[in-house]
Amino acid sequence: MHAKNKNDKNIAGEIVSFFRFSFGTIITGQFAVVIIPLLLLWEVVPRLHLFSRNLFPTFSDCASAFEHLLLHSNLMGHIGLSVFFFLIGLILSVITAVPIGILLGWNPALRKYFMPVFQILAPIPPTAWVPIALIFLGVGFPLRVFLVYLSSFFPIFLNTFQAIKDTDRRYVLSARVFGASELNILIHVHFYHALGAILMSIRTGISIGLIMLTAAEMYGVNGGLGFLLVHSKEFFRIPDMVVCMAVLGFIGWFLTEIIKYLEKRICLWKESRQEA
Amino acid sequence: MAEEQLSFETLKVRAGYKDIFLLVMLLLMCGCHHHQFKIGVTSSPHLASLFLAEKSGKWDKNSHLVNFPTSADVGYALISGKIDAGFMEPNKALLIKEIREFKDIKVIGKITYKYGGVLIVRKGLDLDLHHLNGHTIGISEPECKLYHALLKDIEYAHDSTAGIRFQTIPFADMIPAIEAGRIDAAITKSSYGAYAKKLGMTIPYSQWNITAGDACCPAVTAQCEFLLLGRKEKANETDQLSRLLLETTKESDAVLRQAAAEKTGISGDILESLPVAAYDVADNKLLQLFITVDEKEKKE
Repeated sequence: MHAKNKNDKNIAGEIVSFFRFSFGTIITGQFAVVIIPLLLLWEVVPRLHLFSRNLFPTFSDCASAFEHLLLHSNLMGHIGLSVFFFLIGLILSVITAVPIGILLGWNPALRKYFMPVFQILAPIPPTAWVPIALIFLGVGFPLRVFLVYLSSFFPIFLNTFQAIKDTDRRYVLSARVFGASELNILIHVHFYHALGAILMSIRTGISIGLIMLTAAEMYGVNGGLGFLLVHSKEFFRIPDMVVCMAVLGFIGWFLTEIIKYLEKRICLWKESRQEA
Repeated sequence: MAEEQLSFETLKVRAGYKDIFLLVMLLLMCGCHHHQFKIGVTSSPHLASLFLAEKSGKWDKNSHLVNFPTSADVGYALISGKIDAGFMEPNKALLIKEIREFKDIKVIGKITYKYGGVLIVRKGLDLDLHHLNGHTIGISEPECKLYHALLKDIEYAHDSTAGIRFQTIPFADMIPAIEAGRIDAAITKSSYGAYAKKLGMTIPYSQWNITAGDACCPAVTAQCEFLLLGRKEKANETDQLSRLLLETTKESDAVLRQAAAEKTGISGDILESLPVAAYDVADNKLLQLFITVDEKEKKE
């Protein structure tokens, strides 16, 4: 019981620490000096009739649209759906791209066989995969997950591969001198050396994955932020479109902050290097 | 030194000629751009009379068709002045009527299609009226005339509708819902037939003996597939386009179908089995729907 309470306190402490870390970068005086005038400009310019307010809504119009979507249009449901499919795709890409990147980065022989395939596939823009994915996977769940998976796989794989390949040989040789097995060297030298790059590549994967999720939700679905965005566009509800864009941006930022926090907690040597 | 100066002078003259050439090219391009009459379209086979007009000798060479994915995109381009005319679905056109910039736009004509109901069935599913039990069918709403016509015909064939699951879905979302597998079939407007067939869906049932006009499909817009909207400052060009469309719409169905097939990629066999849409000028009933608040106040 005591151990359980201690665990709960640790988790709560971590959560508080995370929110302090992530929102702490936004809730600052310096940021307020920039964002408040921008918001005021956003509110005032459409009211000057330089642009049509229907086409360029004010900040308050968008805030009202946000409230309406939240209370009457199941915005949280759409967010939940998008985040659910996105996380499935991202997790699948991490659990496949990282091991493959480690394997090919570590083993020169395997690299010669398989790396050219990835080098050919990687430059294909994720959006170019949409038509063929539609044909083979149809619309809905498989398309969404596949496009998120594909778009985040290559940045994670390539960064992992490069970071493993670039492990300082001195560390590897030192570990061998101390009698470490190849597996131990792979885990405790190569992997930890590459960990910072892996986490950085996951952040890149998050950005590209969100783009592709939005694209996937434009085809034959009836839920999700991409669907809501296109639906709002089709029915000329521009404030709703802006809300969808803002929510997508917030989700991307929040997920990136989670990865940054993980990096801070796991890659302690980076923190101390920065402080030095 | 004199040779260098000479070269430099030559260079200056050459650079001057180059600048003039570029300037002339720019002016020519601006000129070309200025006189173009742009018409926004989607790749719908119901615009057959427009596609035929484009091929005709009377087509204005300065007119160009600009393709958009949906008619909402045509609307955005029209009200922002990026195009001079465009074909929009009536329900979308009624929405942009509320935007301030719509005062610069007028409704010129309409594309109408024979009103009827079709049962569109998912590709690979072998269904007819006798085997709908246990399947999910999309309907636009419980009071829809097309839905009631289908029920009547099923009962006329001595089949029960008790085992059929009906799900309400807007007309525009029915085909995507069928493709996504959320529904097995849908009873929808006949004008969606060509697109459904292009996607490999089948139409085992069609009913043409229905008069448009109910809560979901008001008669004025139900048979209207597209409205031709144009910017008021391009009145001459839009009227000229309208006159040309009135001519081409009188061509035979075979000629119109061929023009639609060439432009949209939908095979002639598919279009052969379906009626052809017709163009006509907007009548007063339709124009009444698009009177803006400003115009109403002016009249009063």
